[in-house]
Amino acid sequence: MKGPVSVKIEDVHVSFGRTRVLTGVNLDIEPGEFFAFLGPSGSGKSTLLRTIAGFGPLPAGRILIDGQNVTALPPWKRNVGMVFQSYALWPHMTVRKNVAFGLEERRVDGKEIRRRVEAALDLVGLAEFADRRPTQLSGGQQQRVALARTVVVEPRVLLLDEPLSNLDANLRVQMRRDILDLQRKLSLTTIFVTHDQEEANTMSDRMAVLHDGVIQQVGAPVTLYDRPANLFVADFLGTANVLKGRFTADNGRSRFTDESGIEISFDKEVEHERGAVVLRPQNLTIQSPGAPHGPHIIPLSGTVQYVEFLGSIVRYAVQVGPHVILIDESHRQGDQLFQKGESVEVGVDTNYLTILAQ
Amino acid sequence: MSYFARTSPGPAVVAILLGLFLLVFLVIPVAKVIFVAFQDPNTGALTLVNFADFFNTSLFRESFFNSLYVALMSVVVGSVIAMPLAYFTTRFNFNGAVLIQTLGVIPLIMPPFVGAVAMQLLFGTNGSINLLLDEWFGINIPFMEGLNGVILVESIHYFPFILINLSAALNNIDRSMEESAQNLGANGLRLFRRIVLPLAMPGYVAGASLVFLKVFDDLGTPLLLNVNNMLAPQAYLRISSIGISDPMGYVISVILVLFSLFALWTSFLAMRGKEYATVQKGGGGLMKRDLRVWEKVGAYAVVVFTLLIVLSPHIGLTLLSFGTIWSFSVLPDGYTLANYQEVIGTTSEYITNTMLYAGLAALIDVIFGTAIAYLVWRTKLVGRKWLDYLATGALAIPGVVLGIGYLRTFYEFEVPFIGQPLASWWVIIVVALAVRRLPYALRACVAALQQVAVALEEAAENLGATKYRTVKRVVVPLMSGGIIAGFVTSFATAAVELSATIMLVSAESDAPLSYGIYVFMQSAAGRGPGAALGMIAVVIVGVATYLSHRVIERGKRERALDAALAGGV
Repeated sequence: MKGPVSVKIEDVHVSFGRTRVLTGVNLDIEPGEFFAFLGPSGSGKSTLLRTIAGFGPLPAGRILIDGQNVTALPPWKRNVGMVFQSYALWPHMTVRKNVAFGLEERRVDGKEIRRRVEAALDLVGLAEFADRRPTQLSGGQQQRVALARTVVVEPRVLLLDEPLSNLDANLRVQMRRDILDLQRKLSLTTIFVTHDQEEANTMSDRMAVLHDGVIQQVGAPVTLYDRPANLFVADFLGTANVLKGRFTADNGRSRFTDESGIEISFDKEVEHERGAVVLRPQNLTIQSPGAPHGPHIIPLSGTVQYVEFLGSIVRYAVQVGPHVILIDESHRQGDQLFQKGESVEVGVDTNYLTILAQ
Repeated sequence: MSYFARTSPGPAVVAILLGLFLLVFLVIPVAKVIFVAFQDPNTGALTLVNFADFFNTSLFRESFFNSLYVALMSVVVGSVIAMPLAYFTTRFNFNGAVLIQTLGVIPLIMPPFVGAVAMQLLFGTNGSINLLLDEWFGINIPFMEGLNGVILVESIHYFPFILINLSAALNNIDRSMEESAQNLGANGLRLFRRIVLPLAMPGYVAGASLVFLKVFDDLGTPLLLNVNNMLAPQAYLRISSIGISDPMGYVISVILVLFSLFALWTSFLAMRGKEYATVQKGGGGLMKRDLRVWEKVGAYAVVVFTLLIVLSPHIGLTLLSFGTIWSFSVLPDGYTLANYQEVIGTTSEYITNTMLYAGLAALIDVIFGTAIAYLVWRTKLVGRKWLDYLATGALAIPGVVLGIGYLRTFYEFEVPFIGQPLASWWVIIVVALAVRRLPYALRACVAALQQVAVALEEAAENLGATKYRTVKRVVVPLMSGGIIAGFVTSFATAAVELSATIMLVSAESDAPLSYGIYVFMQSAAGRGPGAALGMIAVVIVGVATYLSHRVIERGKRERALDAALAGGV
């Protein structure tokens, strides 16, 4: 088998009739990379995946696989393997028949088909289920059959459409690892679509966050979480407290003034004038009013609105001016919780600010 | 629910009464028919001699093969008509939905025998079409000769069963089924043959076996076309001319039941475990594409041509009912209202009898249907499933067979105070209609009951309502849409049923519409009034069907609204 290949997407636009679904998509996916398309429903992530497989309306722009322009090729000539969200196993065929289908379409010799089907079923650990019908299998097993059916033809690229959405929580974690193992074993360039940031974070080397048919940011999961490029990415990847306001330069430092008058000064130059400060709940602290605090901490006075005890952490919602700020405190044995209605101070650590332009 | 089942005898009593009704009016008559078929007419001993006689008589052998041939050919011709239509509407962006719905009600609003004579006048040797063909091309095509006529009439009436089932099957194939095959390298004809066709097969087989069943059992059409060498007409003729002791009628009945069971079983097998309805997120149905201009023209031409053929019995019947004399001419000589005056003036009891019989039968059906549905789905009574099986089993019993069974079983039973045998009292016609239509009403009631969440009942009980009050105040009101739809379907189909009725009508004054049509159509002079009567039947049934459609649609809208509200909780 040839080594893994690259996928290049150049200025792709897709419309359904008059509705724009994808606008100006550019992506470089490296050979062998495990790449995620992450976004809410309706963001165009599935459409982008389907466009790579050759489904849906003909896009404007170019799609290159291993340098070859496949934009105008029909799906059956692309040799990209796609695993459908519903698995799309044919109920009138046995597992073996399902897996053999693609090889039969490629006119592979009968003996060779048998050998490769066995090998593929072994790979996903379903050899003993070869003669069952797909409907007699559990969801996780069906998922494996769908994977086997796709990888048996040795596609150039593996596309997974929401591969874990139809599985229950326990199976999901297991399947996540299995898919990763399979991908490493086959060293296949893999793209998968998900709306679940945890899935994207745990599985992908890099990901693209999509919103309204536009790619918002591309990068490794940690980079996107810690350095979101805009409010959408900040908010979509985890919980974010957002304060909007103005930045003013102040002797090499900057001062941020929120619309309600909250002020935060920090040691960094900011070029733009209007913008936002994003505070992750786990980067904030909560303490009694007047308690001592470190030099980087700016205290904001507020009142506890509600307390949610989640076990390892406690989530507080604190009313600060017009805002409700969420704070996650890790909980240690015996810690006393603040009570609803109590006056507290929210500590903003200026080392952990995310500054966004408007 | 289980508390109720343990403590109150109510449901058990109702179940026993329903069971008794089905036993007396379905099981015993059919068992009697089967028993007589295996009984020596002289000694009364069990024997196969009747079956040997049957297969040794050339007329019966011929009838058997004719019935088989006609039923199979009707499936073939029906498929030829249905397949292109199903393909157009599921594969292309083609405004066919309205058309399909229209075609779908045709077998309901007019049974084939009503239009049979009109078809002869249009397509017969001396009919309109052949007169024109002869004038233009000097040819004559035997559309209506013998068995051809039966096949033509049956297939254009029953092909919608195939069309509807096949379209539904095609629409239920998830698009990803097709896309995954393309992704793995298949396209075009191979994709169709290996994926689409096998997935649509269960729907097709279900529709085709229904057509087979309907045609194999049909009595009215061959009788009116004067094709007597088929099984159902032979059974009728033996019983009506030789008498109820002649064993041949019973032997034929057994064969009819066997083949009906076989057809039903086939359709059951086809559908069982093959719920291929896999429509999921991402859009159901096959990939559709727009038609090019010339394709559109071609598609519409096929559809309009099909529609013309399918509507020809209705067109012919309309002409016949308003025509004066129509013989050896393309169109009737003149037009008149005399036929309608005649049937409304002199034979209005046909119409009133029909309203009475079909109305009563439908009422019985929805009451029994609701009761059975409730007993089967909402109680834990032992053997409750058997009520469902028994009531549904009536599907496999052809009308002729039920009629013969009633004659044989109830001829000696004198009704108290009436002074005549139950078999010739008009009420027996109502019972026969009720038993024959019960499966349809039952399905409608079950569907309606399944829409009522158990929690709604539990809420009423929790607030202090007894089981009886809960059923009365919560369950039945919520089921009412489905019950009304079931009533109308039963009414509409009972109003034009002929095969059981024709066996049980003992006096002209007790006869319903369908019998009247049959009697009128026997003579050339009676065709006009017969057609007028047929038109009246079509109007009654058409209006009823339209009303039930409205009720069902309203129910659907309300449920959609409920679902939307429930989704917000």
